[in-house]
Amino acid sequence: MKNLTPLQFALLTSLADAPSHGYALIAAVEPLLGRRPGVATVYTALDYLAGAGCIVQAQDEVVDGRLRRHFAITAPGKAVLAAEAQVLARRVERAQRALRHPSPVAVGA
Amino acid sequence: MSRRVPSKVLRLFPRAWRAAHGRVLMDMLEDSAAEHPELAKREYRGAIRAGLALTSKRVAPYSFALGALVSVTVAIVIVVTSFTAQNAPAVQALMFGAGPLLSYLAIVTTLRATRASWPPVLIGAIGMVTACAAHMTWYAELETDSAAGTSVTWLALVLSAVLLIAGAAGALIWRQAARGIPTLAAVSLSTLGGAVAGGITVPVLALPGAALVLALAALVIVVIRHRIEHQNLKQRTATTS
Repeated sequence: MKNLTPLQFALLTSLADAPSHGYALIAAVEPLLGRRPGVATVYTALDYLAGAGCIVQAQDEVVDGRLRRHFAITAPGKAVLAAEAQVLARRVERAQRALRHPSPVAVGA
Repeated sequence: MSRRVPSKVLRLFPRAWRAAHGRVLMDMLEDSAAEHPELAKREYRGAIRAGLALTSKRVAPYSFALGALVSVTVAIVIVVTSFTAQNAPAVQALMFGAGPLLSYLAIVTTLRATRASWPPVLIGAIGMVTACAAHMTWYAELETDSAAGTSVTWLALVLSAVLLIAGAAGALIWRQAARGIPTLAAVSLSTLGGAVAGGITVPVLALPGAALVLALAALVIVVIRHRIEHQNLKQRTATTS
């Protein structure tokens, strides 16, 4: 699988916490992304992740006459998320190291 | 307060996708419209864009393949009907110029359809065009009686073509082999396979019409692979519903 997009990463992170349905996931990923993603964008991303085997569609339930499809993360999905989290952690570490040892040439100081 | 979502927002999604997910998406849009009415228009526009993107992604390979197939057919008809001594330069240009370019287009289309690995196949396609350029150079130099077509340019083009095609084939074999067999065996197999592919493909492309046949083969692969993907989607759809 290619690198995860920020939205896919946020969706997998939320689903690693607990299985959830599409609409609830929009609210769950909002703090992770810093913006509210569109409904269709989230649903097509979920469909892509399901196609890639990272998540599975669990049961459907009807609440107030509306169909809600639940999703759960799979073992390969957890592996993909763990790998991506490691990549991000390394990047963060590198950035923090660079900030702790700034260049001797100060620009715009 | 609940708001009805206009059904036209789903119109641009592919039919199979709509059958599998249309109801859920509509209900999610209704949830959103009820909770955030101020975002409703943005959500509808977003859904229309997402549908358009999915549909284009599904239809694009077929349209590209159809376009390439029509071009290849026209090129073959021209080659077959106009091969006279007088027309030879034009026919050669078609065989070694238009043919490889169409092969290139067909291969790139195959990649988009099958989500195969871009770099090796792209390098292979460039190798094919280089090989055909070498053959055209050979013909052109024969016409002008300069060293029977074996100039440095010709040699450089042939070598580049062999290396490009060998590299591409080796990389493709490596991708498959490295997963299943020990590294040393995978390296040997990739090197050998690449060298054989490069050594065979370049002379084969000197045969009139070979590039066109390869283009047709690539188009057949496009259709078959795309069909398989479509079948998989249908199976997923059936499982979902």
